[in-house]
Amino acid sequence: MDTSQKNLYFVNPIIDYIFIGGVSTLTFVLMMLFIGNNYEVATIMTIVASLSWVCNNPHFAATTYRLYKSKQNMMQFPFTSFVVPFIVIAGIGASLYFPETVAPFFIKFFFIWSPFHFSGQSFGISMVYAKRAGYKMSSFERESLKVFIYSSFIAILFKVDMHFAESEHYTLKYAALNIPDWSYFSVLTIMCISGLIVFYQAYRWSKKNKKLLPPIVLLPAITHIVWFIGGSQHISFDAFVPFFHSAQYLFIAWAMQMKDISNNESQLEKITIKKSFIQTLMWFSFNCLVGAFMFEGIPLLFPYFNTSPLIGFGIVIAGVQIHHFFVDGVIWKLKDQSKKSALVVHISEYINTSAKLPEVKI
Amino acid sequence: MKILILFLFFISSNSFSDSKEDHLVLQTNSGVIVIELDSEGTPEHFNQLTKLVELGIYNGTSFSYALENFYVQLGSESERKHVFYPTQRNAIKEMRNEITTFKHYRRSVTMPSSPDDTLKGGQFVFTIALDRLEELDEKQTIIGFVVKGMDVVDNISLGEKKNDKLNKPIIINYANIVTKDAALSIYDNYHNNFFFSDIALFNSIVFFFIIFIQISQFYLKNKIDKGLANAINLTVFLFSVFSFLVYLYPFAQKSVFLSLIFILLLLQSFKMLSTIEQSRGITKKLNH
Repeated sequence: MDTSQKNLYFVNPIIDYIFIGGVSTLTFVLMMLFIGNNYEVATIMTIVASLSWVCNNPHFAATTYRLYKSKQNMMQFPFTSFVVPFIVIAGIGASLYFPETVAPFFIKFFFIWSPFHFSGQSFGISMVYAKRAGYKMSSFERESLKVFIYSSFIAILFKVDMHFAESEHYTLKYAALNIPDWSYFSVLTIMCISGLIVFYQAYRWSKKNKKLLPPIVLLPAITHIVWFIGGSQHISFDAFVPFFHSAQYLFIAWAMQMKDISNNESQLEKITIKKSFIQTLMWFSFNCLVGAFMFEGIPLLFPYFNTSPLIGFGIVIAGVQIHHFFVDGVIWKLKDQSKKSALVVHISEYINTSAKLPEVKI
Repeated sequence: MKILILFLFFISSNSFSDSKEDHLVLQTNSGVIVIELDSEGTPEHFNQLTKLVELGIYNGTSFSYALENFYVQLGSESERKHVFYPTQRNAIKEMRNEITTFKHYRRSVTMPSSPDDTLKGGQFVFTIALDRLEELDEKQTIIGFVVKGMDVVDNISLGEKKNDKLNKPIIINYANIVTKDAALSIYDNYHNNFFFSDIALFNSIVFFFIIFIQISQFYLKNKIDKGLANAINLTVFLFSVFSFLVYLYPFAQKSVFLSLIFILLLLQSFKMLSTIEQSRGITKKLNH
C-alpha cells in the first residue's frame, strides 16, 4: 500500500469498503434480486433481533463509553455528559405518565431524529474520507453533499407520513403528519439535483488532479441513499439498515479506541497486533454487555405508570436512543490533545502491523 | 366511636372497591368505550384479558364486523395492519367457558370460547351485543358490560359494510384496564373535548422548570461557568420549543401548512441541539 492509500483508509481498502457501505450495498442488490419485498417478516425480524445483540446494542454502548470513559472527555462536554441524561429521563417519565398525549410525540420525535442522526453520520464519514483523500471541499461542495444526504432522509420521512395515517412502536400508535404528495416528489427532485452536483464536482476534482477521486469518499453518501431510498422500496432490507449503520459506526469507534490505547501505552511505541486483538475482544465484549444492559436492564428501572409493559419498554428504549443521538453529536468533537485525531490517521501509526502474529500452538 | 369505625370501614371498603382495576377502556377513532369487566364471575377470562391488554393485543385491533341492531365484533389478527409480535401471539390461548347468570342483553360483551363457534377469530376477539341475543345464553361467556360509550358502538354498527364486514374498520388506538374513576375520567375528558388536560399539566411543569432555572441563574450567575449558563438558557428555550411542538403535533396531523412548520421547527431544534455545547467556553479553557 502506498503512502497516499495508507492515509486514505483506516485499515485497508477491503476492510474500509466492507464496513463503510460495501456489504450493505451488496446485501441490498442480493435481496432485490433473490428475496421478495416482504420476505417472511418473522424470519427477518429474528435475524435482525439476533444481530442487534452483537452490533446495534454495542454501538450504543460504544458511544456512551467514549464520552463517559474519562473525566477529561466529560468535562469537554459537561452539558451533554451531566444535564442531557436528566432531560432524557424527564422525557421518558412524561411519556410514561402521559401515554396518550406526550408519548406519541416523544416517539414521533425519536423517529424523526433517528434518520436525521443516520444522515449526520453518513455526512461526517464522507467528510473524513474527503479530508484523508486531500479533497478540500468548498462550502458550495460541502452544502451540496449535505443536501444530497439529508434530502434522502427528508424524502423518506415525507413518504412514510404520506402513506400511513398511523404507525406503531411497540403497539403505541403515533399519528403521521399531514404531508402532501408534492412535498415528497419535490424533495426527491432536490436530492437528484444535489446528487448530480456532487458527482459533477467529483468529476471536476478528478480532472483537475488527473486522478480519480477515491470512490470511498462518496461511498457513505451513496450507501446512505441505498439505505433510505432503497430501503423504502424493500421492507426486508429496511429492517437491516440500523445494523449497517451500527457496523459503520463500530468500525470507526474501534479505530479510535485502538488509537486511545496506543496513546495510553506510550507516546512513542506502537501496540502489538496481539495486544490490539486482545484489546479489541475486550472492548467488543464490554460493549456487548453494556449494550445488553442499556436495552434490557434500563427499561426495568422505570415505573410504567399508565402504560402497558410493552409500550413502556418501547418508550424507554426510544429514550435510550435519543440519549445516544445527543452523545453522538459531541463525541466526534472530543479533542485528543496529545496526538492527531484517529479520524485522520492510518492504524499502522498506532498498531505495529509489520509484526507477525504469534503462532498458535494447538 | 362505633359510628366512627363504621364510617372508616365504609370509606375504606368504598375506596377499595373503587381502586379495583376492572374497567376496560377502548380509545377508538370514533370515541371512547368503557367496559366494566366481570372479574368475579369470570376470573379466568378477566386474568387472560388483563394479560392481553398489557401486551398491547388490542392496540391496533379494529372493530371489523357489525350488524345493525345486532352486534359489533372485533376483527382477527389478519385484519390488523401489523401482525402480532411472537410474545403477543403466544399469549393468545383458548379459554373454557365461564357461564354466569348474566344473559346476553344489549351492552353485554361476549367472548367466543370454542374454535368452532360461528363467531370465529381467536381468543382475543369479543363481541358487543346491540340487542337481546338469546341464542348465546349459557353458550358463551359474558366478560362484562359497556357502561359508557354505547353511542360509539351504535355508530360503528351503522358504518358501510359488505356481508357484515365494515368497509372502514374502526381501529382501537389504545386499550387499557383501569379503575372505574380513571375510566370515567378518560371518557369525560374525551367527550368533553378536554383533550389537552395532560398537555396543560406537562406545560405547567415546563413553565415551572423555566422559572426555577431562571431564578437559579440569577442567584448563581457569578458562580457558574458562563458557557454552561448559556447552554442551560438554550436548554430552557428548547424545552419551551418542544413544549410548543407537543401542542402543535395533534394539529399538524390535520393541516399541511402546520405539518411543514412542525418539521421545520423540529429540524431547527435538532440543529440547535447539536450545537448546544458550542456556546460554552469550557473546551476553550481546557484547550488553553
